[in-house]
Amino acid sequence: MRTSRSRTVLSLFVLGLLVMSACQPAPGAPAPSPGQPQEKVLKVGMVLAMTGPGSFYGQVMSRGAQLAVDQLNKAGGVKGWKLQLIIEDHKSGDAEAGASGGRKLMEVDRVPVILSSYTAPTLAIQPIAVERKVLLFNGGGVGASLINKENLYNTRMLGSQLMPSLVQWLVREKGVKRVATIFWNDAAGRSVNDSVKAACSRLGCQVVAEEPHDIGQTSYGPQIARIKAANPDAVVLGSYGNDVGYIVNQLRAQGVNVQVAGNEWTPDAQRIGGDAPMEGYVVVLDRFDPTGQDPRTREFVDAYRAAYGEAPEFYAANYYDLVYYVLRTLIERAVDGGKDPSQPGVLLDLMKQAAQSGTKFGTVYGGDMVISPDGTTRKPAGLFRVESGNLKLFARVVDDQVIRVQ
Amino acid sequence: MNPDLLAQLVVNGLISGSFYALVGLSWGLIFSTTKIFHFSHALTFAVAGYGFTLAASAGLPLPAAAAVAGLVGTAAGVAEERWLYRPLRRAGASQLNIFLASLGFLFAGQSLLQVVFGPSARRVPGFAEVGISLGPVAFTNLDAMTAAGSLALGALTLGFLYNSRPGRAVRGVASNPELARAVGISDDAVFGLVFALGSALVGLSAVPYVLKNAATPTMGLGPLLAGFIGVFLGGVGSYGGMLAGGVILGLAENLGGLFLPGYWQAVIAFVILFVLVLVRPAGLFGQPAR
Repeated sequence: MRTSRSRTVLSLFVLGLLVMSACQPAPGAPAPSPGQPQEKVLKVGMVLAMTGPGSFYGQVMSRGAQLAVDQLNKAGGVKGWKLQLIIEDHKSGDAEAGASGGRKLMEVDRVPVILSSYTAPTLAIQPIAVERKVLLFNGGGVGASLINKENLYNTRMLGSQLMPSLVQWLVREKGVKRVATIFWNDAAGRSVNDSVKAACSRLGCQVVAEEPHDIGQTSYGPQIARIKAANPDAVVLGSYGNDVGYIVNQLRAQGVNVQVAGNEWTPDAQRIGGDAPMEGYVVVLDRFDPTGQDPRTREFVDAYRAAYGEAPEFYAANYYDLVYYVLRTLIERAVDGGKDPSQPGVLLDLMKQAAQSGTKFGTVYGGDMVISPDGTTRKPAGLFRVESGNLKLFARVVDDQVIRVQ
Repeated sequence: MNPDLLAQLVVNGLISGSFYALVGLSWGLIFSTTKIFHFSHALTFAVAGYGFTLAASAGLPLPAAAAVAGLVGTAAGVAEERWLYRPLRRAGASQLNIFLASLGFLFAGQSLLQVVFGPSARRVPGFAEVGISLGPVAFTNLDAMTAAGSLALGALTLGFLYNSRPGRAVRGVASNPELARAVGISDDAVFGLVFALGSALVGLSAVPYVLKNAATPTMGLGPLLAGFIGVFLGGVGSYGGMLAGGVILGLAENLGGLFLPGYWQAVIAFVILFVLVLVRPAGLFGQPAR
C-alpha cells in the first residue's frame, strides 16, 4: 500500500516535470514576455575543425563568428532577427564527418545557411546544400575545386588566385629558377601545386620536385630528402595548418636552407616550426592586418581582444566578416523585401543576386569585399615575411602584380 | 641511384627508427606481459609531453623537465592500470572490451587536454636545434640525441629485464603467467611494474618529440602506431626484436623514398606489417608458438 502510494507520487512528479519541460521554449528561442512580439531566431550552421590537428582553426573561426553574433544580438538583432550559431565538427578535414554534420544542420536544425571550412568537407556538404536550397560559405578552404560550385561562395582568396603572385616574386626578386613543391595530397594541395607549375612555366622557372603528403603528417624525412636531392633554389608549400611548421623545421634540420614560401602561416605553425627555422619564411595571404587603421578593422580587433584576450588573425576575420557584413546585409534585404530569411532558398537567392550585381560588402580587411558569381572573392592581398616570430608585410598584390612596400 | 639521397635517407631512417624503437619497446613491454592492447599509451605520451612543456616553461633545466616527463608518464600509466584496466580485468572483461575502453579513454583524454590546454600547440621556449653536416648528410643535435638516447634507454631496459629479479619476474609472467603465479609472483605487482616502466619510457620519448615539434592533444597517435607496427615487426616475444623492429621500420619507411613518393611512408609501414602477419606471424625475431 505504502509502495503503491509512493509510486503514484513519483509518477505525478515525473509527469509534472514532463509537462513543465514541454512548456519550456526550445533551446535558442528566448521566451516571449507578455505584451512583446515573439522573438525571431535565425539559425546559422557552422561545420568547422573543432577536434583533431586543425582544432586551432575551429576555435578562431567560431570565435570570429560568435563575436559578430553577440554584437548583432546585443544591438537588437538584424531587423528583429536574433542569430544563433550551431556548430558541427568535421574533425579537421574529414569529408564524411563534414557531410554528416552538414546533413544534421540542414535536416534537423533546418538552417538556411552554413559556414564551412576546409576544401574536402565543404565539397562534401555542397551537393546536399544544393538539394536543400541552403546557402553555403567557405572562409578557410583554398582548393581551386571550390570555384563555380552552385550555392557556394568563398570569402578567402583561393590558392590558385594567390600563388602566381608568389611565384612571380620568387622569380623576379629572388632569381629563382628551380622550384620544389611539397603539398597536401588533396584537392586543395594539388590545386596549389598545379597553379605553381602553371605560373612557373609562364615565368620561366622549372619545378624540379613535387612531393605530396598526407594531411596532418608530422614526419617528412623521405619527402625532404628527395627535395634536397633535386637541389632547388626555393621550396613552395601547398600545405596548411601545423604541417607548415613541421615541414619548415625539418627542411632546415636536413640542411635545405633555400627560400621557403607558402600560402599559410598561423601562430601554431610558427610555434611548431620554431623561431629560428621559420625566420624568413614568406607567405602570400589575404592581407588582414590587425594593426591597420581602418575604423572597421580597429573596431573588430578591439572587440576581439576584449572578448578573447588576443589579437585576431585572418581566419577569425573571415568568419566575422561572413556574419557581421555578408549575412547581415542578406537578412536586411530579405526582411525589407517582406521575406522570411529562415526559409530555405531566401538567403541563397539574395546572395546570387548580390553576386550578380557586384554588391560591395563591408570587411574588417579595410574597404569593401565583392563576391563574384563564380564564388570567388577579391580582397587586399600581400606578401609577408616572418621576422622575429611575427608576420611583416613587405609587398602588396595589386591586379596580380607584386608591389614592394619597403 | 643517387648516393647522396641514399645516405640522407639512411640517416633519417636511423633517427626516426630509434624513436619508433623506444616507443615500441615501451608499448610492447606492457602488451607482451599483460596482453592489454593499451591504445591509450598515446595519451600517456601526450600527457608526459605537456608535463615536460609546463616544467620547461616554468624555468626548470631541460634534464630536470625531462625527468618530470618520465614521472608524469609513470603516474599516468600506473593510474590507468590501477583504475581502468584492473577493475575491468577483475570484472572478467574480454580483451575486446578492454581495448574499446582504452580507445574511449584515449579520445576522452585528448578532448580533456584540449579543454584544459586549448587546441594551440605548446612549444618549449629557449631550445634551439643546431644543424650538423657530414658531407651530403645533414641532421641536428636533437636528432643525434634522440637516436643515442633512445638506444641507450632501450639497452638499459633490456639490461633490467635480463639481469634483475623484478625483470625476470616480468619475463616470467610474459612467457607463462600460470607458472609464474604458481611460484608466487603476483600478477598485479608485475602488471603495475610494466605499466610504470613502459609509461616512464614513453614519457621520456615524448621529450625529443616535443623539443622538435610542440605539444598538442593528438601528438601521441602517430608515434604509437609506428611503435606498435615495430613491435609486431620485431616480434612480441622478443624485447630486442621490438627495438630492432622499430629501427627496421624507420629505415624501410625512409628508404622507400628512393623509389616511391614520400607520402607512401604510411603505406609502406602497413604493407610490411600485412606481409609479415601472413608470412611470419611471430615477427622477425619472435619464437613461433609451438
